[in-house]
Amino acid sequence: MSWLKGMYNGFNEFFLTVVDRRELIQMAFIEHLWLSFVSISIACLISLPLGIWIARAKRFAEPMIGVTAVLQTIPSLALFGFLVPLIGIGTNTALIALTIYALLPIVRNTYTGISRVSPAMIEAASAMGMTSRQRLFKVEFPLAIPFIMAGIRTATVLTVGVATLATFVGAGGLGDVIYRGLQSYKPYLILAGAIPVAVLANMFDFILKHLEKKSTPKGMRIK
Amino acid sequence: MIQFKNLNKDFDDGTEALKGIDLNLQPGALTCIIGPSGCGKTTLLKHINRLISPSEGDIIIDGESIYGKDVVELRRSIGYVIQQIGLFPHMTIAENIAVVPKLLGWTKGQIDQRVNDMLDMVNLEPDVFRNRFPLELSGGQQQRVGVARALVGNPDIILMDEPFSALDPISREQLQDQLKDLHSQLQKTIVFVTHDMDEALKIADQIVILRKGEVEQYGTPDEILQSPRTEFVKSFIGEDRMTRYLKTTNKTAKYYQDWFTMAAPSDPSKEVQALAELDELIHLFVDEKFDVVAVKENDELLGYLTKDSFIKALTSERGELS
Repeated sequence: MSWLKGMYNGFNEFFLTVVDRRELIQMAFIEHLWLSFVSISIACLISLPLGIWIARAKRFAEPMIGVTAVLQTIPSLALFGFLVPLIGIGTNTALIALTIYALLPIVRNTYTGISRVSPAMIEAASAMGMTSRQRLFKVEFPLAIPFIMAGIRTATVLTVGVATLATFVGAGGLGDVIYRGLQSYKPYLILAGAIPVAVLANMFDFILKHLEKKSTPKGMRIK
Repeated sequence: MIQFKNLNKDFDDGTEALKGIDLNLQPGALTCIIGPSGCGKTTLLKHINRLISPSEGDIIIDGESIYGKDVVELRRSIGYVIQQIGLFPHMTIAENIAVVPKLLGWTKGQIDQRVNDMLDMVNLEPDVFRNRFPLELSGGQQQRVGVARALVGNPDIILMDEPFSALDPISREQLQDQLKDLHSQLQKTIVFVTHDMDEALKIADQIVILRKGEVEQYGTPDEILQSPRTEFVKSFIGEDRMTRYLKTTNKTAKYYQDWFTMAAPSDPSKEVQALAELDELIHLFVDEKFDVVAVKENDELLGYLTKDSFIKALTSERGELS
Protein backbone atom coordinates (compact mmCIF):
# COMPACT_ATOMS: atom_id res chain seq x y z
CA MET A 1 0.00 0.00 0.00
CA SER A 2 3.02 2.23 -0.04
CA TRP A 3 2.30 3.49 -3.58
CA LEU A 4 -1.07 4.71 -2.40
CA LYS A 5 0.53 6.55 0.45
CA GLY A 6 3.10 7.99 -1.94
CA MET A 7 0.39 9.22 -4.23
CA TYR A 8 -1.49 10.70 -1.34
CA ASN A 9 1.64 12.52 -0.21
CA GLY A 10 2.22 13.74 -3.73
CA PHE A 11 -1.29 15.15 -4.03
CA ASN A 12 -0.98 16.66 -0.63
CA GLU A 13 2.24 18.43 -1.45
CA PHE A 14 0.89 19.61 -4.82
CA PHE A 15 -2.19 20.95 -3.10
CA LEU A 16 -0.10 22.75 -0.49
CA THR A 17 2.04 24.30 -3.25
CA VAL A 18 -1.05 25.54 -5.06
CA VAL A 19 -2.51 27.02 -1.90
CA ASP A 20 0.78 28.55 -0.94
CA ARG A 21 1.31 30.18 -4.37
CA ARG A 22 -2.30 30.80 -5.25
CA GLU A 23 -1.86 34.50 -5.85
CA LEU A 24 0.99 33.91 -8.27
CA ILE A 25 -0.91 31.16 -10.06
CA GLN A 26 -4.10 33.19 -10.23
CA MET A 27 -2.37 36.20 -11.72
CA ALA A 28 -0.41 34.04 -14.14
CA PHE A 29 -3.61 32.30 -15.23
CA ILE A 30 -5.34 35.59 -15.96
CA GLU A 31 -2.30 36.92 -17.82
CA HIS A 32 -2.14 33.72 -19.82
CA LEU A 33 -5.80 33.93 -20.73
CA TRP A 34 -5.43 37.55 -21.70
CA LEU A 35 -2.33 36.98 -23.85
CA SER A 36 -4.00 34.11 -25.69
CA PHE A 37 -7.27 35.90 -26.19
CA VAL A 38 -5.78 39.16 -27.46
CA SER A 39 -3.34 37.51 -29.83
CA ILE A 40 -6.03 35.24 -31.28
CA SER A 41 -8.34 38.20 -31.77
CA ILE A 42 -5.65 40.17 -33.58
CA ALA A 43 -4.76 37.09 -35.65
CA CYS A 44 -8.42 36.75 -36.66
CA LEU A 45 -8.62 40.40 -37.63
CA ILE A 46 -5.62 39.94 -39.91
CA SER A 47 -6.22 36.41 -41.17
CA LEU A 48 -9.90 36.53 -42.10
CA PRO A 49 -9.63 39.40 -44.58
CA LEU A 50 -6.31 38.01 -45.81
CA GLY A 51 -7.80 34.56 -46.35
CA ILE A 52 -10.81 36.01 -48.16
CA TRP A 53 -8.60 38.18 -50.30
CA ILE A 54 -6.29 35.39 -51.43
CA ALA A 55 -9.31 33.18 -52.14
CA ARG A 56 -10.38 35.79 -54.68
CA ALA A 57 -6.95 36.78 -55.98
CA LYS A 58 -5.67 33.24 -56.39
CA ARG A 59 -2.25 34.22 -57.71
CA PHE A 60 -1.40 35.68 -54.31
CA ALA A 61 -2.58 32.60 -52.47
CA GLU A 62 0.54 30.46 -52.76
CA PRO A 63 3.02 33.18 -51.76
CA MET A 64 0.83 34.36 -48.87
CA ILE A 65 0.28 30.91 -47.43
CA GLY A 66 3.98 30.28 -48.02
CA VAL A 67 4.95 33.32 -45.95
CA THR A 68 2.69 32.36 -43.04
CA ALA A 69 3.95 28.79 -43.23
CA VAL A 70 7.57 29.94 -43.07
CA LEU A 71 6.75 32.13 -40.06
CA GLN A 72 5.33 29.11 -38.35
CA THR A 73 8.37 26.95 -38.97
CA ILE A 74 10.47 29.29 -36.86
CA PRO A 75 10.84 27.51 -33.51
CA SER A 76 8.66 29.35 -31.04
CA LEU A 77 11.44 30.01 -28.58
CA ALA A 78 13.60 31.42 -31.39
CA LEU A 79 10.77 33.68 -32.56
CA PHE A 80 10.54 35.25 -29.12
CA GLY A 81 14.32 35.57 -29.19
CA PHE A 82 14.36 37.30 -32.58
CA LEU A 83 11.82 39.86 -31.48
CA VAL A 84 13.62 40.98 -28.30
CA PRO A 85 16.40 42.96 -30.04
CA LEU A 86 13.80 44.48 -32.36
CA ILE A 87 11.03 45.44 -29.96
CA GLY A 88 12.52 44.81 -26.54
CA ILE A 89 10.89 42.79 -23.84
CA GLY A 90 7.35 43.03 -22.55
CA THR A 91 3.78 42.17 -23.36
CA ASN A 92 3.85 43.60 -26.89
CA THR A 93 6.65 41.31 -27.93
CA ALA A 94 4.73 38.32 -26.66
CA LEU A 95 1.53 39.44 -28.39
CA ILE A 96 3.31 39.92 -31.70
CA ALA A 97 5.00 36.54 -31.54
CA LEU A 98 1.77 34.76 -30.60
CA THR A 99 -0.19 36.54 -33.32
CA ILE A 100 2.36 35.57 -35.97
CA TYR A 101 2.06 32.00 -34.76
CA ALA A 102 -1.71 31.95 -35.01
CA LEU A 103 -1.88 33.36 -38.56
CA LEU A 104 -1.27 30.24 -40.61
CA PRO A 105 -4.10 27.99 -39.46
CA ILE A 106 -6.70 30.74 -39.81
CA VAL A 107 -5.48 32.06 -43.18
CA ARG A 108 -5.19 28.61 -44.64
CA ASN A 109 -8.58 27.43 -43.45
CA THR A 110 -10.32 30.61 -44.55
CA TYR A 111 -8.72 30.27 -47.96
CA THR A 112 -9.58 26.58 -48.24
CA GLY A 113 -13.10 27.09 -46.95
CA ILE A 114 -13.91 29.74 -49.51
CA SER A 115 -12.08 28.07 -52.39
CA ARG A 116 -13.91 24.80 -51.97
CA VAL A 117 -17.38 26.32 -52.33
CA SER A 118 -18.62 24.45 -55.39
CA PRO A 119 -18.42 26.26 -58.75
CA ALA A 120 -22.12 25.48 -59.24
CA MET A 121 -22.97 27.64 -56.18
CA ILE A 122 -20.83 30.47 -57.49
CA GLU A 123 -22.38 30.22 -60.93
CA ALA A 124 -25.90 30.13 -59.53
CA ALA A 125 -25.18 33.11 -57.29
CA SER A 126 -23.66 35.16 -60.10
CA ALA A 127 -26.35 34.24 -62.57
CA MET A 128 -29.02 35.39 -60.10
CA GLY A 129 -27.49 38.82 -60.21
CA MET A 130 -25.52 38.92 -56.96
CA THR A 131 -22.66 41.37 -56.94
CA SER A 132 -19.33 39.92 -55.96
CA ARG A 133 -19.77 41.37 -52.46
CA GLN A 134 -23.25 39.89 -52.01
CA ARG A 135 -21.94 36.57 -53.23
CA LEU A 136 -19.18 36.65 -50.62
CA PHE A 137 -21.41 37.48 -47.67
CA LYS A 138 -24.52 35.53 -48.63
CA VAL A 139 -23.00 32.42 -50.12
CA GLU A 140 -19.26 31.92 -49.91
CA PHE A 141 -18.65 33.05 -46.34
CA PRO A 142 -21.56 31.16 -44.71
CA LEU A 143 -20.54 28.01 -46.56
CA ALA A 144 -16.93 28.42 -45.40
CA ILE A 145 -17.75 29.02 -41.72
CA PRO A 146 -17.18 25.45 -40.50
CA PHE A 147 -13.70 25.50 -42.03
CA ILE A 148 -12.87 28.93 -40.67
CA MET A 149 -13.99 27.96 -37.17
CA ALA A 150 -11.82 24.84 -37.32
CA GLY A 151 -8.86 27.05 -38.21
CA ILE A 152 -9.52 29.35 -35.29
CA ARG A 153 -9.77 26.38 -32.97
CA THR A 154 -6.42 24.97 -34.10
CA ALA A 155 -4.83 28.39 -33.74
CA THR A 156 -6.24 28.89 -30.25
CA VAL A 157 -5.05 25.58 -28.84
CA LEU A 158 -1.64 26.25 -30.36
CA THR A 159 -1.48 29.74 -28.91
CA VAL A 160 -2.42 28.66 -25.40
CA GLY A 161 0.51 26.26 -25.48
CA VAL A 162 3.04 28.63 -26.98
CA ALA A 163 2.00 31.43 -24.58
CA THR A 164 3.92 29.63 -21.83
CA LEU A 165 7.04 31.02 -23.50
CA ALA A 166 5.89 34.59 -22.91
CA THR A 167 7.65 34.42 -19.59
CA PHE A 168 11.03 34.64 -21.36
CA VAL A 169 10.22 38.12 -22.66
CA GLY A 170 8.81 39.19 -19.34
CA ALA A 171 5.16 39.06 -20.38
CA GLY A 172 4.03 36.77 -17.59
CA GLY A 173 1.52 34.00 -17.99
CA LEU A 174 1.59 30.50 -16.63
CA GLY A 175 5.09 30.11 -18.03
CA ASP A 176 6.19 32.21 -15.04
CA VAL A 177 5.01 29.54 -12.64
CA ILE A 178 6.66 26.75 -14.62
CA TYR A 179 9.89 28.70 -14.93
CA ARG A 180 10.04 29.37 -11.23
CA GLY A 181 9.47 25.71 -10.54
CA LEU A 182 12.31 24.82 -12.90
CA GLN A 183 14.65 27.33 -11.34
CA SER A 184 13.99 26.25 -7.77
CA TYR A 185 13.80 22.50 -8.49
CA LYS A 186 10.20 22.30 -7.29
CA PRO A 187 8.42 19.77 -9.47
CA TYR A 188 5.06 20.53 -7.87
CA LEU A 189 5.34 24.15 -8.79
CA ILE A 190 6.08 23.14 -12.40
CA LEU A 191 2.92 21.06 -12.34
CA ALA A 192 0.98 23.91 -10.80
CA GLY A 193 1.85 25.92 -13.93
CA ALA A 194 1.59 23.14 -16.51
CA ILE A 195 -1.74 21.66 -15.45
CA PRO A 196 -3.69 24.94 -15.84
CA VAL A 197 -2.16 25.35 -19.32
CA ALA A 198 -3.45 21.93 -20.29
CA VAL A 199 -6.82 22.65 -18.73
CA LEU A 200 -7.04 25.99 -20.52
CA ALA A 201 -6.13 24.47 -23.88
CA ASN A 202 -8.71 21.74 -23.50
CA MET A 203 -11.32 24.17 -22.34
CA PHE A 204 -10.80 26.38 -25.38
CA ASP A 205 -10.84 23.33 -27.59
CA PHE A 206 -14.12 22.18 -26.09
CA ILE A 207 -15.81 25.57 -26.29
CA LEU A 208 -14.68 26.23 -29.84
CA LYS A 209 -15.64 22.77 -30.99
CA HIS A 210 -19.11 23.43 -29.68
CA LEU A 211 -19.15 26.83 -31.36
CA GLU A 212 -17.96 25.27 -34.59
CA LYS A 213 -20.91 22.90 -34.55
CA LYS A 214 -23.34 25.65 -33.67
CA SER A 215 -22.06 27.99 -36.35
CA THR A 216 -22.36 25.37 -39.08
CA PRO A 217 -25.52 26.39 -40.93
CA LYS A 218 -28.37 24.05 -40.05
CA GLY A 219 -28.96 22.99 -43.62
CA MET A 220 -25.40 21.74 -43.90
CA ARG A 221 -25.56 19.55 -40.82
CA ILE A 222 -27.98 17.21 -42.58
CA LYS A 223 -26.20 14.27 -44.06
CA MET B 1 -36.49 38.61 -79.06
CA ILE B 2 -33.06 37.14 -78.44
CA GLN B 3 -30.87 37.82 -81.40
CA PHE B 4 -27.33 36.54 -81.85
CA LYS B 5 -25.29 38.56 -84.27
CA ASN B 6 -22.15 36.99 -85.69
CA LEU B 7 -21.23 35.65 -82.26
CA ASN B 8 -17.72 34.23 -82.01
CA LYS B 9 -16.00 32.80 -79.00
CA ASP B 10 -12.39 31.66 -78.88
CA PHE B 11 -11.23 30.31 -75.55
CA ASP B 12 -7.78 31.10 -74.23
CA ASP B 13 -6.56 27.61 -75.07
CA GLY B 14 -7.37 28.28 -78.73
CA THR B 15 -10.61 26.30 -79.05
CA GLU B 16 -13.10 28.04 -81.27
CA ALA B 17 -16.23 27.34 -79.27
CA LEU B 18 -18.60 29.42 -81.38
CA LYS B 19 -18.15 30.41 -84.99
CA GLY B 20 -20.31 33.18 -86.36
CA ILE B 21 -23.62 32.33 -84.72
CA ASP B 22 -26.49 34.25 -86.32
CA LEU B 23 -29.81 33.35 -84.78
CA ASN B 24 -33.11 34.94 -84.01
CA LEU B 25 -34.94 33.16 -81.21
CA GLN B 26 -38.70 33.57 -81.21
CA PRO B 27 -40.28 35.40 -78.29
CA GLY B 28 -42.41 33.17 -76.10
CA ALA B 29 -41.04 29.99 -77.62
CA LEU B 30 -39.27 27.15 -75.88
CA THR B 31 -36.11 26.77 -77.90
CA CYS B 32 -33.86 23.76 -77.38
CA ILE B 33 -30.19 24.03 -78.20
CA ILE B 34 -28.89 20.58 -78.88
CA GLY B 35 -25.73 18.98 -80.17
CA PRO B 36 -23.00 16.52 -79.24
CA SER B 37 -20.78 17.35 -76.30
CA GLY B 38 -18.28 20.07 -77.05
CA CYS B 39 -20.50 21.63 -79.72
CA GLY B 40 -20.74 24.90 -77.80
CA LYS B 41 -24.35 24.69 -76.65
CA THR B 42 -23.68 25.60 -73.02
CA THR B 43 -21.21 28.26 -74.10
CA LEU B 44 -23.88 29.79 -76.31
CA LEU B 45 -26.40 29.75 -73.45
CA LYS B 46 -24.01 31.36 -70.98
CA HIS B 47 -23.49 34.24 -73.37
CA ILE B 48 -27.11 35.28 -72.88
CA ASN B 49 -26.66 36.18 -69.20
CA ARG B 50 -23.07 37.20 -69.76
CA LEU B 51 -21.48 34.46 -67.70
CA ILE B 52 -19.22 34.19 -70.75
CA SER B 53 -18.12 37.13 -72.89
CA PRO B 54 -17.87 36.76 -76.64
CA SER B 55 -14.68 37.31 -78.61
CA GLU B 56 -16.73 39.05 -81.27
CA GLY B 57 -20.34 39.77 -82.08
CA ASP B 58 -23.38 40.98 -80.23
CA ILE B 59 -26.54 39.76 -78.56
CA ILE B 60 -29.69 41.84 -78.80
CA ILE B 61 -32.58 41.38 -76.41
CA ASP B 62 -35.73 43.43 -77.12
CA GLY B 63 -33.81 45.64 -79.49
CA GLU B 64 -31.04 46.47 -77.06
CA SER B 65 -27.52 45.10 -76.93
CA ILE B 66 -26.97 43.23 -73.66
CA TYR B 67 -23.47 44.65 -73.52
CA GLY B 68 -24.89 48.11 -73.06
CA LYS B 69 -26.79 47.06 -69.92
CA ASP B 70 -25.62 46.69 -66.33
CA VAL B 71 -24.64 43.05 -65.96
CA VAL B 72 -26.24 42.64 -62.52
CA GLU B 73 -29.54 44.13 -63.72
CA LEU B 74 -29.45 41.93 -66.79
CA ARG B 75 -28.94 38.76 -64.74
CA ARG B 76 -31.72 39.63 -62.31
CA SER B 77 -34.08 39.87 -65.27
CA ILE B 78 -33.17 36.42 -66.61
CA GLY B 79 -33.99 33.15 -64.83
CA TYR B 80 -31.30 30.50 -64.77
CA VAL B 81 -31.49 26.78 -63.99
CA ILE B 82 -28.40 24.59 -64.02
CA GLN B 83 -27.77 20.87 -64.12
CA GLN B 84 -26.09 20.76 -60.71
CA ILE B 85 -29.22 22.54 -59.38
CA GLY B 86 -27.05 24.87 -57.29
CA LEU B 87 -29.42 25.47 -54.38
CA PHE B 88 -27.66 27.05 -51.41
CA PRO B 89 -27.42 24.36 -48.72
CA HIS B 90 -27.35 26.83 -45.83
CA MET B 91 -30.68 28.40 -46.79
CA THR B 92 -34.17 26.92 -46.45
CA ILE B 93 -36.23 26.27 -49.56
CA ALA B 94 -38.13 29.52 -48.99
CA GLU B 95 -34.90 31.48 -48.55
CA ASN B 96 -33.45 29.92 -51.67
CA ILE B 97 -36.44 31.00 -53.73
CA ALA B 98 -36.43 34.43 -52.10
CA VAL B 99 -32.86 35.31 -53.09
CA VAL B 100 -33.74 37.31 -56.18
CA PRO B 101 -36.79 39.08 -54.67
CA LYS B 102 -34.59 40.12 -51.75
CA LEU B 103 -31.97 41.45 -54.13
CA LEU B 104 -34.74 43.33 -55.90
CA GLY B 105 -35.85 44.79 -52.58
CA TRP B 106 -39.38 43.41 -52.29
CA THR B 107 -41.20 43.64 -48.96
CA LYS B 108 -41.41 40.61 -46.68
CA GLY B 109 -45.13 40.16 -47.29
CA GLN B 110 -44.70 40.24 -51.05
CA ILE B 111 -41.84 37.75 -50.84
CA ASP B 112 -43.73 35.29 -48.63
CA GLN B 113 -46.76 35.33 -50.89
CA ARG B 114 -44.68 34.93 -54.01
CA VAL B 115 -42.64 32.06 -52.54
CA ASN B 116 -45.86 30.19 -51.71
CA ASP B 117 -47.21 30.80 -55.20
CA MET B 118 -44.01 29.55 -56.76
CA LEU B 119 -44.00 26.38 -54.65
CA ASP B 120 -47.61 25.74 -55.65
CA MET B 121 -46.69 26.29 -59.26
CA VAL B 122 -44.03 23.58 -59.21
CA ASN B 123 -46.32 21.23 -57.23
CA LEU B 124 -44.54 21.37 -53.90
CA GLU B 125 -46.81 21.89 -50.88
CA PRO B 126 -45.67 25.24 -49.38
CA ASP B 127 -46.47 24.25 -45.78
CA VAL B 128 -44.40 21.11 -46.10
CA PHE B 129 -41.43 22.43 -48.03
CA ARG B 130 -40.92 26.09 -47.09
CA ASN B 131 -38.75 25.48 -44.07
CA ARG B 132 -36.91 22.41 -45.24
CA PHE B 133 -33.32 22.46 -46.41
CA PRO B 134 -32.18 21.43 -49.90
CA LEU B 135 -30.32 18.35 -48.63
CA GLU B 136 -33.58 17.00 -47.21
CA LEU B 137 -35.16 16.91 -50.68
CA SER B 138 -34.82 14.39 -53.51
CA GLY B 139 -33.07 15.43 -56.71
CA GLY B 140 -36.36 15.91 -58.53
CA GLN B 141 -37.80 18.05 -55.73
CA GLN B 142 -34.60 20.10 -55.59
CA GLN B 143 -34.75 20.85 -59.28
CA ARG B 144 -38.41 21.90 -58.92
CA VAL B 145 -37.18 24.41 -56.40
CA GLY B 146 -34.49 25.35 -58.92
CA VAL B 147 -37.20 26.06 -61.49
CA ALA B 148 -39.27 28.01 -58.94
CA ARG B 149 -36.20 30.07 -58.07
CA ALA B 150 -35.65 30.90 -61.73
CA LEU B 151 -39.28 31.95 -62.23
CA VAL B 152 -39.74 33.94 -59.04
CA GLY B 153 -38.69 37.35 -60.32
CA ASN B 154 -41.11 36.93 -63.22
CA PRO B 155 -38.36 37.16 -65.83
CA ASP B 156 -39.24 37.24 -69.51
CA ILE B 157 -36.39 34.91 -70.34
CA ILE B 158 -35.39 31.67 -68.65
CA LEU B 159 -32.18 29.84 -69.42
CA MET B 160 -31.90 26.17 -68.59
CA ASP B 161 -28.62 24.29 -68.87
CA GLU B 162 -29.35 20.54 -69.05
CA PRO B 163 -31.59 20.93 -66.01
CA PHE B 164 -33.03 17.44 -65.97
CA SER B 165 -30.15 15.31 -67.17
CA ALA B 166 -28.88 14.39 -63.70
CA LEU B 167 -32.30 13.19 -62.56
CA ASP B 168 -33.71 9.69 -62.58
CA PRO B 169 -35.87 8.86 -65.65
CA ILE B 170 -39.18 9.15 -63.80
CA SER B 171 -38.49 12.56 -62.26
CA ARG B 172 -37.11 13.68 -65.61
CA GLU B 173 -40.32 12.75 -67.43
CA GLN B 174 -42.43 14.47 -64.77
CA LEU B 175 -40.38 17.63 -64.84
CA GLN B 176 -40.45 17.73 -68.65
CA ASP B 177 -44.24 17.48 -68.59
CA GLN B 178 -44.45 20.15 -65.92
CA LEU B 179 -42.13 22.45 -67.78
CA LYS B 180 -44.24 22.06 -70.89
CA ASP B 181 -47.38 22.95 -68.90
CA LEU B 182 -45.69 25.89 -67.23
CA HIS B 183 -44.48 27.14 -70.56
CA SER B 184 -47.89 27.02 -72.15
CA GLN B 185 -49.34 28.84 -69.11
CA LEU B 186 -46.69 31.51 -68.80
CA GLN B 187 -45.52 31.93 -72.39
CA LYS B 188 -41.98 32.82 -71.35
CA THR B 189 -39.06 32.69 -73.72
CA ILE B 190 -37.17 29.63 -72.60
CA VAL B 191 -33.77 28.60 -73.91
CA PHE B 192 -33.10 25.02 -72.99
CA VAL B 193 -29.79 23.25 -73.53
CA THR B 194 -29.86 19.47 -73.77
CA HIS B 195 -27.97 16.60 -75.35
CA ASP B 196 -31.04 14.39 -75.34
CA MET B 197 -32.88 14.42 -78.66
CA ASP B 198 -36.00 12.78 -77.21
CA GLU B 199 -36.18 15.52 -74.60
CA ALA B 200 -35.82 18.20 -77.26
CA LEU B 201 -38.46 16.65 -79.51
CA LYS B 202 -40.81 16.33 -76.57
CA ILE B 203 -40.67 19.84 -75.20
CA ALA B 204 -39.32 22.18 -77.87
CA ASP B 205 -41.16 24.64 -80.07
CA GLN B 206 -37.95 25.33 -81.92
CA ILE B 207 -34.73 23.36 -82.08
CA VAL B 208 -31.25 24.68 -82.79
CA ILE B 209 -28.80 21.95 -83.75
CA LEU B 210 -25.20 22.91 -83.12
CA ARG B 211 -22.09 21.21 -84.32
CA LYS B 212 -18.55 22.38 -83.63
CA GLY B 213 -19.74 25.89 -82.82
CA GLU B 214 -21.89 26.31 -85.89
CA VAL B 215 -25.63 26.12 -86.43
CA GLU B 216 -26.47 23.04 -88.50
CA GLN B 217 -30.19 23.58 -88.53
CA TYR B 218 -32.79 25.76 -86.84
CA GLY B 219 -36.46 24.92 -87.05
CA THR B 220 -39.47 23.27 -85.47
CA PRO B 221 -39.19 19.62 -84.46
CA ASP B 222 -41.42 18.68 -87.40
CA GLU B 223 -39.29 20.55 -89.90
CA ILE B 224 -36.13 18.99 -88.56
CA LEU B 225 -37.57 15.50 -88.57
CA GLN B 226 -39.11 15.79 -92.00
CA SER B 227 -36.34 17.57 -93.77
CA PRO B 228 -33.02 17.29 -91.99
CA ARG B 229 -30.80 19.71 -93.82
CA THR B 230 -27.48 17.91 -93.53
CA GLU B 231 -26.19 14.39 -93.15
CA PHE B 232 -25.04 15.32 -89.68
CA VAL B 233 -28.54 16.31 -88.59
CA LYS B 234 -29.91 13.09 -90.04
CA SER B 235 -27.42 10.94 -88.18
CA PHE B 236 -27.78 12.98 -85.02
CA ILE B 237 -31.53 12.45 -84.97
CA GLY B 238 -31.11 8.83 -85.98
CA GLU B 239 -33.11 6.84 -88.52
CA ASP B 240 -35.10 5.07 -85.80
CA ARG B 241 -36.25 8.21 -84.16
CA MET B 242 -37.29 9.76 -87.46
CA THR B 243 -39.51 6.87 -88.48
CA ARG B 244 -40.87 6.38 -84.98
CA TYR B 245 -41.66 10.05 -84.65
CA LEU B 246 -43.25 10.34 -88.07
CA LYS B 247 -45.45 7.32 -87.45
CA THR B 248 -46.89 8.78 -84.30
CA THR B 249 -47.29 12.40 -85.28
CA ASN B 250 -48.79 14.43 -88.04
CA LYS B 251 -47.94 12.68 -91.26
CA THR B 252 -47.84 14.61 -94.46
CA ALA B 253 -48.23 13.65 -98.08
CA LYS B 254 -44.47 13.57 -98.45
CA TYR B 255 -44.21 10.86 -95.85
CA TYR B 256 -45.87 8.45 -98.32
CA GLN B 257 -43.24 9.16 -100.95
CA ASP B 258 -42.36 5.47 -101.16
CA TRP B 259 -45.86 4.81 -102.49
CA PHE B 260 -45.78 7.51 -105.15
CA THR B 261 -45.80 6.60 -108.79
CA MET B 262 -44.25 8.84 -111.42
CA ALA B 263 -46.61 7.93 -114.21
CA ALA B 264 -50.03 9.48 -113.83
CA PRO B 265 -52.50 6.60 -114.22
CA SER B 266 -55.52 8.75 -114.98
CA ASP B 267 -56.27 12.43 -114.96
CA PRO B 268 -54.43 13.99 -111.96
CA SER B 269 -56.81 16.88 -111.59
CA LYS B 270 -55.95 17.61 -107.96
CA GLU B 271 -52.65 18.96 -106.64
CA VAL B 272 -51.59 18.86 -102.99
CA GLN B 273 -48.56 20.28 -101.25
CA ALA B 274 -45.91 17.98 -99.83
CA LEU B 275 -46.78 19.21 -96.33
CA ALA B 276 -50.49 18.44 -96.68
CA GLU B 277 -51.63 16.45 -93.70
CA LEU B 278 -53.20 13.02 -93.47
CA ASP B 279 -56.66 14.44 -92.78
CA GLU B 280 -56.55 16.45 -95.96
CA LEU B 281 -55.58 13.40 -98.03
CA ILE B 282 -58.38 11.34 -96.54
CA HIS B 283 -60.80 14.17 -97.23
CA LEU B 284 -59.72 14.32 -100.87
CA PHE B 285 -59.91 10.59 -101.47
CA VAL B 286 -63.05 9.84 -99.48
CA ASP B 287 -65.23 12.95 -99.52
CA GLU B 288 -64.12 14.50 -102.79
CA LYS B 289 -63.74 11.10 -104.47
CA PHE B 290 -60.45 11.79 -106.25
CA ASP B 291 -58.64 8.65 -107.40
CA VAL B 292 -55.25 10.24 -107.65
CA VAL B 293 -53.47 13.41 -106.51
CA ALA B 294 -50.25 15.03 -107.65
CA VAL B 295 -47.92 15.85 -104.77
CA LYS B 296 -45.84 18.97 -105.22
CA GLU B 297 -43.09 20.57 -103.23
CA ASN B 298 -42.18 24.13 -104.19
CA ASP B 299 -43.82 23.71 -107.63
CA GLU B 300 -41.78 20.62 -108.26
CA LEU B 301 -43.67 17.41 -108.88
CA LEU B 302 -42.72 14.68 -106.41
CA GLY B 303 -45.04 12.09 -107.87
CA TYR B 304 -48.62 10.84 -107.89
CA LEU B 305 -50.39 9.18 -105.03
CA THR B 306 -53.35 6.99 -105.98
CA LYS B 307 -56.18 6.09 -103.67
CA ASP B 308 -55.27 2.41 -103.87
CA SER B 309 -51.63 2.84 -102.96
CA PHE B 310 -52.63 5.24 -100.17
CA ILE B 311 -54.92 2.61 -98.67
CA LYS B 312 -52.17 0.02 -99.03
CA ALA B 313 -49.77 2.37 -97.30
CA LEU B 314 -52.13 2.88 -94.38
CA THR B 315 -52.78 -0.85 -94.11
CA SER B 316 -49.11 -1.77 -94.10
CA GLU B 317 -48.50 0.88 -91.47
CA ARG B 318 -51.14 -0.62 -89.22
CA GLY B 319 -49.44 -3.96 -89.59
CA GLU B 320 -46.11 -2.47 -88.56
CA LEU B 321 -47.50 -0.67 -85.59
CA SER B 322 -49.47 -3.55 -84.11
